[in-house]
Amino acid sequence: MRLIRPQYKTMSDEDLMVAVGKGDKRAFDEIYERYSGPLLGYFMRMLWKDREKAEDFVHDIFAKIIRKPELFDPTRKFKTWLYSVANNMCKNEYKKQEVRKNTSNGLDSHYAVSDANSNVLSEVQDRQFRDEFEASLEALDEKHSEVFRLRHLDGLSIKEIAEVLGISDGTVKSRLFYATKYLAESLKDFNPVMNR
Amino acid sequence: MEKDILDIVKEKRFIELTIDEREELKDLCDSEDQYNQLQHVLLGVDAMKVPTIKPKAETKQRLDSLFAETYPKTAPVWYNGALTAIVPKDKPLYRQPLVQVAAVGLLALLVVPFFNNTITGEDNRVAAIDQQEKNILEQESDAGGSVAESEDVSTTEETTVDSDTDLRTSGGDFVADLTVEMTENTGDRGAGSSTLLGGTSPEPTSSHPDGVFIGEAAVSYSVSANEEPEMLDLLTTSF
Repeated sequence: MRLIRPQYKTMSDEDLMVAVGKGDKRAFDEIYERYSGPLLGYFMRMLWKDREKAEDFVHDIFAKIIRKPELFDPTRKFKTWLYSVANNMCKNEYKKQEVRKNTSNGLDSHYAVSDANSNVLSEVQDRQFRDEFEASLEALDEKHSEVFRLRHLDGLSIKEIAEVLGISDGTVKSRLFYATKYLAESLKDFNPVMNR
Repeated sequence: MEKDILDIVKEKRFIELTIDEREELKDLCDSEDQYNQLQHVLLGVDAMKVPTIKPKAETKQRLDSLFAETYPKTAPVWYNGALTAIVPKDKPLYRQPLVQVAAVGLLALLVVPFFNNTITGEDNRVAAIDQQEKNILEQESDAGGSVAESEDVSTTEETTVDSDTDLRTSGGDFVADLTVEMTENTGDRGAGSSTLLGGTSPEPTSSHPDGVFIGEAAVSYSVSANEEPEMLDLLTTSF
């Protein structure tokens, strides 16, 4: 019988997962709070900006955590394990679809700036940059764009990306360098930072 | 997240790079212009305002239902209810009834024996004093009036002290000896018994709490004046 309540906000992801395995609802709520938003963004980027499909995928991945928490090895890092599972889900979906949809050239409205006091010119330039950036990223092949997205949009480190994708650190680095160089070349005429 | 070379590109100007960092960036950029271009793109990507999005509330509700099905709570039993009442999880430790009762009990265990010992000790002391007084009274009754003589002795001792002082100032040692002898005159004078002055008379002792000694009836320290004519002369001349 616990006499002292655990502090879920300060617990590590791995400890929370162990608690979830024992039926601790609050631990699950904390895990959901930490990763539901980032995972939704990841799935939206990977699944052609389809919000509904992305929501379903978020539900499925957390349902997997509830039903089979023992699938997670506590000695591993939870974040990389979670993104590995998400990446595999997306790959399976690609196989089902067999064709990558490209229904939008720009980011959807969720990425729009909604600050009423912002500079209109700056806002237009930002939007132009985002459109150009997204188009260039789409032009890259999947293995390079995926690495770039995981690094710069999902915030994973090179080591974590290597673990998620099941490749070496050096391969991640080389793909990342290639994608970054390609984007720098594509966007060389567009300098959003200097125009602010 | 661990910092890698791309983070360094975002933070440093080209001239601030170390030799190792430039070596690492060799595959990415050859010149300062390419480096600046790379830096601008990376900063632009970071500057893209991407708000955090959250799934719909329905998604969480579905997951909560699934969790309740997967990990059902145990059916409440009577002792579970009692346990919940005395150890409520939503209250801090010091406010839980069981903890409070345990703290009071511990305090009582520590304090009550202490008070019990104090009272008992007091009673014992009083009882001991009472017993002593009883013993004294018994002894007094056995001695038969020796208490009164002990009072005389105490007054004699007082006067002796004063006279002792006067005599010493006058320089009479033999008078001082006489004083000592007189203070030794205790006990039953009427008995007529005498002991040799300065003889082997036993040390007077007393068990009386006031310290007044009550000599034994068999031992007498008084000497009648007619047995010591020299002393009688001295007495008369001094008066």
